[in-house]
Amino acid sequence: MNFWKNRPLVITVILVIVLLSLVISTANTEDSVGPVSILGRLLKPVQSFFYELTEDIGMFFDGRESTTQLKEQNELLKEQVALYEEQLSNYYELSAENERLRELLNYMQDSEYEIVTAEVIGTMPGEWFDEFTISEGSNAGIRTNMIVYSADGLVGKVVYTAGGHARVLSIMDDTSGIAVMVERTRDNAVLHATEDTPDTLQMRYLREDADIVPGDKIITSGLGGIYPKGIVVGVVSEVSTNTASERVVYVKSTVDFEHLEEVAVVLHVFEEVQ
Amino acid sequence: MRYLVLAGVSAVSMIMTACISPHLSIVNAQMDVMLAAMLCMVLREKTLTPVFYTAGMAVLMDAFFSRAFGFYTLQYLGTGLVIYLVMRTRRIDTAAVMASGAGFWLLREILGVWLCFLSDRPVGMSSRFVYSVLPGCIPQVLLCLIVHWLMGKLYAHRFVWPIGLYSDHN
Repeated sequence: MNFWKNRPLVITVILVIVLLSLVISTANTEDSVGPVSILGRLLKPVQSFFYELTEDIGMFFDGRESTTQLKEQNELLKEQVALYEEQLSNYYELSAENERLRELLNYMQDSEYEIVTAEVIGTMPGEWFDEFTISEGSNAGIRTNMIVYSADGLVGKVVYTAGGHARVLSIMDDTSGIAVMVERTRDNAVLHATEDTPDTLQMRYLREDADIVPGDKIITSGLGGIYPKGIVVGVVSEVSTNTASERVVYVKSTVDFEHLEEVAVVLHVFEEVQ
Repeated sequence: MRYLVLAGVSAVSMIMTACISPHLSIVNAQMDVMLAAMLCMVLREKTLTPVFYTAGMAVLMDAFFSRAFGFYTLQYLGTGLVIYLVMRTRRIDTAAVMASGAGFWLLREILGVWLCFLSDRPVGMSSRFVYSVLPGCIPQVLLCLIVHWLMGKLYAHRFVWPIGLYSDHN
């Protein structure tokens, strides 16, 4: 086959080369530019719709609502007028969302900084990184390195913004390291996600003779910038010894990342604690 | 009409891959409907056109999910190019669909890992392959078989084929 006579093939190879250079040049881009932001805006409502839909499906198979309850609710809804059925369905959704947001705002009420709440509208396909997309972006004042958390604790930090959405790097991503301390003893350490234990974090650089037991609460220390002091990150789940006789401390995050729906973004980039 | 069908199939498969698959993992792997659809279309018509449509949809995924623009587009474009070069002269049967379904799933994952390194965000290759990619071959092959059967129904219609190719393949 004459390569140069096959026009689609030539175009494909050229596109591959162009895209390779784009990938390298835009690696770790923190902000989107015009056309990219517009394209993202096109997909946002579709993503948001299907994210909510599959969350509901997932909760059903998790057994959160029993079959019996669903049947009873279905019978009740069948007896009502179509208009009341729609209003009742909307009311439950708004009521639940209101309760979650109320919890979130109560958690944040002592903050001296302005916050913006956002919904989680998508997770990264392919599970390449622990990043998810939220429904607010630079138009709401969100910038990169702003911290994100829920009523349960620290969620992560903003790593990319577009006009109407932003991406958050979860603390469960194995490129994400957090400076923490044990709340009870004030010992400093660094928390990392690991490949071997995807649902828990591992504590490193803790003093060898540090007093730590399962159940100890782990909070951010404020060292290293980005995360201010005092935010709950997790709870020690296991203290064990590895094959090299080194102590290994595992921490379970207080946030349920599988069912995260609303988050709060602090509209301030924190500097390192002096 | 053909281009509408290609665009529609690509759009639906992209929505399923980007919006639904992340929440419905099987053996820790997210099924790649876009790859299955692109593979089965290229296997049928032996042209690069489905690859371009799939890559076009992957651009939307890049705009929404990726920090390095081209991360998803290059995976599908590169894999589609290899599919075309390798499979364009081969006879298509069930065994070929199964083998190519698994093989190009692995290729796309390898491309993705390489692109992660290129964009200065390395991922743990060994654990990803052991816990996600290799176990994901089986459901991906099953998905390819289902999509191949569906494409058979679709490509039974003349309007889906490029001009002049319908009689060659039927």
